[in-house]
Amino acid sequence: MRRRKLIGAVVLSLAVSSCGGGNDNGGDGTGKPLVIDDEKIASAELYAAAQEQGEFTLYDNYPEEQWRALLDVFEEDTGIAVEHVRLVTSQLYERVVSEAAAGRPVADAVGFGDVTLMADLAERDIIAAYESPVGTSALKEDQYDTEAGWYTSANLGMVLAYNTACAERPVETYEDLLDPAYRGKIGLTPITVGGSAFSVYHFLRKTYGIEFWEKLAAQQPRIYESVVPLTQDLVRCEVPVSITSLGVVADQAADGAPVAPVFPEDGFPVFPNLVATTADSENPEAARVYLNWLLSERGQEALVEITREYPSRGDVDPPQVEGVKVPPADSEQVVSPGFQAWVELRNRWTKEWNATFR
Amino acid sequence: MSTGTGTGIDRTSVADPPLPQQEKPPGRMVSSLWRRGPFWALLAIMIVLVVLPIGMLLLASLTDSTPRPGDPVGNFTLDNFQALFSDRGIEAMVNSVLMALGAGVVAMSIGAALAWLAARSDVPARPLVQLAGIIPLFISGFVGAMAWSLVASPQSGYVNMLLRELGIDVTLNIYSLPGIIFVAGLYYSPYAFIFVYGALTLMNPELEEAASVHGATQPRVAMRVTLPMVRPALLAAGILTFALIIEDFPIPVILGAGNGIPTLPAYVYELMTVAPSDVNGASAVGMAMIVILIALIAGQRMLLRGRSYTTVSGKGFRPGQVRLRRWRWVAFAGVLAYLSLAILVPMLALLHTAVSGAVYYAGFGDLFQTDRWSTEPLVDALTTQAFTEGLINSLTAGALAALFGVALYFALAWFVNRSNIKGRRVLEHLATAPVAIPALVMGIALMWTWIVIPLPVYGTLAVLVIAYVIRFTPQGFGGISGAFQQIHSDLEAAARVSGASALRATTYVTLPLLRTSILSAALLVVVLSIRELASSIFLFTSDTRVLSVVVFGQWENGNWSRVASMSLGYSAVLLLITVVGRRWLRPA
Repeated sequence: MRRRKLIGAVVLSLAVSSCGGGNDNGGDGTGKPLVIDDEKIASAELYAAAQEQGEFTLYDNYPEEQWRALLDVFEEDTGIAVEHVRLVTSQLYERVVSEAAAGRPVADAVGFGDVTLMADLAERDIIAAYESPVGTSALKEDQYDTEAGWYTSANLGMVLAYNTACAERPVETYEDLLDPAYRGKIGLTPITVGGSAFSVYHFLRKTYGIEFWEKLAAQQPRIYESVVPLTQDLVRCEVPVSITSLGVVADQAADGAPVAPVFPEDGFPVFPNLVATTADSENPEAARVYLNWLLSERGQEALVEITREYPSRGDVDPPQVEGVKVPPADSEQVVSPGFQAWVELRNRWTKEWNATFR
Repeated sequence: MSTGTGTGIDRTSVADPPLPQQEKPPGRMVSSLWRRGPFWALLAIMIVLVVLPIGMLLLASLTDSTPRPGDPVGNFTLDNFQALFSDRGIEAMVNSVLMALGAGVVAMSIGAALAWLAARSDVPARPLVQLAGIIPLFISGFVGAMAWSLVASPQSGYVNMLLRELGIDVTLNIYSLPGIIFVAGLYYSPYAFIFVYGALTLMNPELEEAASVHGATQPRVAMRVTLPMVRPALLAAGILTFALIIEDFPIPVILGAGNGIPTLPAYVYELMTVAPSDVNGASAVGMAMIVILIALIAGQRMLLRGRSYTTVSGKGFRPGQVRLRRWRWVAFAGVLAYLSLAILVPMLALLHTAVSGAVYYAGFGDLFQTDRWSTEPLVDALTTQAFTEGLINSLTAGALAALFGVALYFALAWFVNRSNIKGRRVLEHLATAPVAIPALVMGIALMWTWIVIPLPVYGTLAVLVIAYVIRFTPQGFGGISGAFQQIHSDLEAAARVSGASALRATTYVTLPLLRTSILSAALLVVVLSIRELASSIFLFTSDTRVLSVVVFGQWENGNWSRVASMSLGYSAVLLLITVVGRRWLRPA
């Protein structure tokens, strides 16, 4: 409830600011380009074709309520409707690949946080090469691939988090997790769940060596299937400390739950959330307008405010968390494993992780 | 393999009732050409519905790549089974068997006891007892597990907070194998109830009366006459319950996750949710479940070999009633205790979470800070477009699945029980097979199958209806086929002798006698379809989201108040259907 009011407020405040900022959003098919806050999001030609299509279908893995709220802002801005199908990454991937192979493509755009699977979709010619004028000018070069067609839409953070009502004391560093008091009381996710967990174990191993994996495993952490049930048990104090998603834990904190994210001095990992348009799309222009909008200042600000994730653009402020100082996006504390590490190490490390933690 | 779900009798060895020189019943004799056509059509339907997806899975378990459309077939390998024989795989297997056996025993004890009380005793408020037998159907395992984690998680479970408040140094830990067994046992007991209740009410009491007349005591009659007569129903219910529990994924995932209790379905879930999903590994793990079930079904056949269980003949009767005397109220108290554990406590916990909007409490007293309570989130959740659309989709898909499903199950049961066409046993095997396939793996196989079949069903509600019809064939066919076995073909024979055609005899004699079984199968399919999650999640689109998908999505979203609210609404819908439909479970 509270979240919905908040989202309503976001939509309103953004709408006001965009009008004040000289929004040239025609929305009436008069052949004007789409410009918001002095940023050109779509050329007149692209925008007209997109408006002609009027809608597109998005397959996305981000939690539904938040992403739908973001899409509402998009619809408000552009007049283009979005059919939103929320699926977990494995199911999303299976469906997109199977639908394309059977010649029944449904999705016009896809979004999820697994670069190896996105590369696979590019290899299968399921996503379309695209040079986004907004993306190429706003992002760093390693954040997109025009030939493959994907762009980084957000940096999803994984943070230390603890229950402020029941943890023995606030955790400040990763070493604090090795405190005997937390034996059997640490919540983690398995490395197999995807980018989120891989970035965590990659960060820990690169920063503290493989010994840290062993010491952490010796603490007998509780391994949850995903960050959501993990964070629920953190809120309910079934586990007083954890490494979990910034967006999820910040959202719970904003809802009044006794949890707080911690950004250790040594840094914390983020992994990219990606977006791409599909090759056999029936509404390619509408999907492109969405991709450009999502990477625009306007889209990024809405994303940060609604999801409380890090933006992919360096010129947009990080999320606000009450009572906690959040490092800026370009801070050295924000560490990404990089695409290459993921592709190269994923399989080998999965085996090693299983041997250590299972 | 005999049926794992009907009163699985090996009919090839069933002796006809002891009527000397009796001719074969006409149903068996008629094998005219006109019947071959429908038989082949039915076989073709079953091949498309069941064999294709299972074939895909078999392929997946034995090759090194995903058998999705468009991809080349992988190389033959047995490596997928490595996962199964790792330490973790073996632990998961042991846990699964323990869970299915333990929960199966709990479910069977509760279900059979309630069935006997409702059907044959003078327990007070018998309609309520009958309702108690089936009512947990309206709580899906997923909702039940979530609610029980609120009630009895070790730290902040309401019960444990209360125990601490009272200074009692005991912690009830629902996040444990006994916890999982308890919850699964509670919510799977209706299957046992439905089977046993049906058998008890259709049973001719003359045999029991004969035993009494000859001086047998009541316990002796129960042990030596009643029990042997309902043994096929008990065994069939036991095996179905075992099969459903061993493949249940929400309960062990919600209660066992993070607590080091691997089970086979949780393992399958894990393999299916890693990206990309390891379908080959998941299929191999699924094969382990199939092997366990085949062993069980073989055991069932051995136990029932060479007996006849026909108990409904042309004579009218009314089942006798056992007087409980002073145990009446004890039994009734037991029924109330069961209702509290299965329904009242978990539903109150959900209601509390829905209206209070918080899930963390420092102590038991904080639970009752009513100033924070508001019905607004509840009303809000139940009026969202997602919920109302999901409701309409679920009801539509459930009703259509019941309609088409029951027509299919009846046709299957008729051919299996009343024809002598060679190959009718194949139909029976096909009808039983889906119970052995883990639901999640079945979901993805159905997607592969229906995406390549060139009919405009993929992406529509029709594909969900098809999935439900297939998934619940064992239950629907089992119920109707079991009833067929109890109805003596003498009845049809009488009609035939009097000049009725086979079709007319079936329509006017057998069909009315099967009315209860058919309606109860239809009701079961509606309820199970509305609860179905594992296949729906692979087949829905933004226009065809069903209620289970909406609620599960909210759970993945992490909004507890919303999950609790929607779970309540979801359960209320199922409750309404169960209560309205309960009279169909009474004998015809």
